[in-house]
Amino acid sequence: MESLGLDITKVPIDLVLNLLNIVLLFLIVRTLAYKPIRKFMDARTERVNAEARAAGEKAAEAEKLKAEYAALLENGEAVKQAQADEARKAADAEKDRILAEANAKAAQIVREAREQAQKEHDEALGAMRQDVVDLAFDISEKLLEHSITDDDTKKLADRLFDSRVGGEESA
Amino acid sequence: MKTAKIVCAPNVSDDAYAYICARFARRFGAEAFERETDAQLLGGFVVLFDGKVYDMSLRTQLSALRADCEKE
Amino acid sequence: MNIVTGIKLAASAVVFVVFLVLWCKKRHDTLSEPDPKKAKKKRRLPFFGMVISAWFFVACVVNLVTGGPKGISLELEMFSPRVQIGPLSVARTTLTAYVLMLVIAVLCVLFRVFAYPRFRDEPKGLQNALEAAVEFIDKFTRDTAGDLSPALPAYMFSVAVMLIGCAASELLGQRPPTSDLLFTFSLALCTFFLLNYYGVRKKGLFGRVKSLASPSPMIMPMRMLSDVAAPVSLACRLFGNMLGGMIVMDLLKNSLGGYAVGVTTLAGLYFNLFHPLIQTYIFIILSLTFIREATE
Repeated sequence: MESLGLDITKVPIDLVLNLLNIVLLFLIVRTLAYKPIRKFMDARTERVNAEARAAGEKAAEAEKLKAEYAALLENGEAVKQAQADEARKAADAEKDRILAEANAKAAQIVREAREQAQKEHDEALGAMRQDVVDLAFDISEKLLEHSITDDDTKKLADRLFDSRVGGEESA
Repeated sequence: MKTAKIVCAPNVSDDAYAYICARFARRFGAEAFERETDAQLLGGFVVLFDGKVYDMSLRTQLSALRADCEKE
Repeated sequence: MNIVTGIKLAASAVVFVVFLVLWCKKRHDTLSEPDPKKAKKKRRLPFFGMVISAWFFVACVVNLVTGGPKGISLELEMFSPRVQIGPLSVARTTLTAYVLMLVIAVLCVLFRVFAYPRFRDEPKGLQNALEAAVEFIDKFTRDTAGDLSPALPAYMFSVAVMLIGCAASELLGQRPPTSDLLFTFSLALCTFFLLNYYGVRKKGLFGRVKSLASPSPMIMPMRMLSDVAAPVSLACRLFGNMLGGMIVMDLLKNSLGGYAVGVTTLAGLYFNLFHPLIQTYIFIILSLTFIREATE
């Protein structure tokens, strides 16, 4: 070994010093560099995973809400449709009722108008008849007043005395 | 004395009056007659006797006829 | 300075100037060239002419200063010369290793104080490089040896830092500690200790001994010998490779003299950068493989 330039008695000291060097280096690098970097990376990974988990939960919740809202929307459509149908039915019924009412009123008005017209016609007719009658009687009175003879008067007397009719009580 | 009042239209002559009196007396037994003229009667006569009225006036006839016509 | 050297210096200077003028002229002529690649191609020849003549000139100056090439023979000591520090006589390479350790320690402190507080979620620059290195060592250790302990990747990381530092020390004219068998043997002894430690921790002492005797107790001596040979092979492999690289570089420097300017730089890219990295990788992967074998 001496021919190679190695003093065998000094080997253990070199080995020990080198081993100590390696151990010290390991402790320094681990404490000051490796562990902090590892800790930072793990914390960041955990943070990202937590955010991803939260995002996943939020996405699942959003999906659930979306499904609920879709169902509600579908139901809402059905309800809306049913309500629309009901409203339509009610509107139709109301329309029919109003129409019937209007028709009835119209019929009544027509009937009343006809009745009124009839009444007025009858009244007019009656009035006219009355006028005719009055006129006829007026004319008759005038004519008879001047045309009545004694014979007519005697005939009247005969009628009175020949019939069995009694006189009326005087007022 | 049973007196009958005879209300005549102006166009009733005396002859007709007398006829009426005669017939009334015969029928109802009236003994005396009063004559009254009423232009409203138009023709014929009305007798008032013993609380009864015997209306044979033209007016009443016409009124009855008118009433019948109106009733129709 | 003799006439030949003077002529060499003058000629190289003149050639350099000629090529410089040519290069300037080509540059001026190609200003209006629409294709930049074509323009660059036209300037290539004068540029290389300049580089070679400049190199020759510098080599002549260096030879003048240093006395020229020393020949193809080299005097090398197998083991590092020793230095007396008080009562202790230590190898020079051990001293270099300690200086390296101090330098690395200072760098770690500077990192911890200045760089680490500025770490951000989106890494850039130094943070990116360090995170990549840590991530790589971590994954590499876990994939090769399994998840034995968090200290193992940290140890491999510090070994890698030390070996790269040793290669860098050669650039500063020092004999790298890895070219000293005693240093590489210390590293290999650590690996030997670790493989037995993890082996015993995983299987228990009896289990570790039993694994040496499987499949048959007859082969136990051979198994024990191969376990002992592991650190020896590690040490000798690293030592031999690093010493060989150092010898090649020294031979180049001695034989070329001044003409080694630039040549040793190019050779150093391999022997002082690429080669040590390969040896670091081999040392770490073999250490982890031995540890895995001891724990299986």
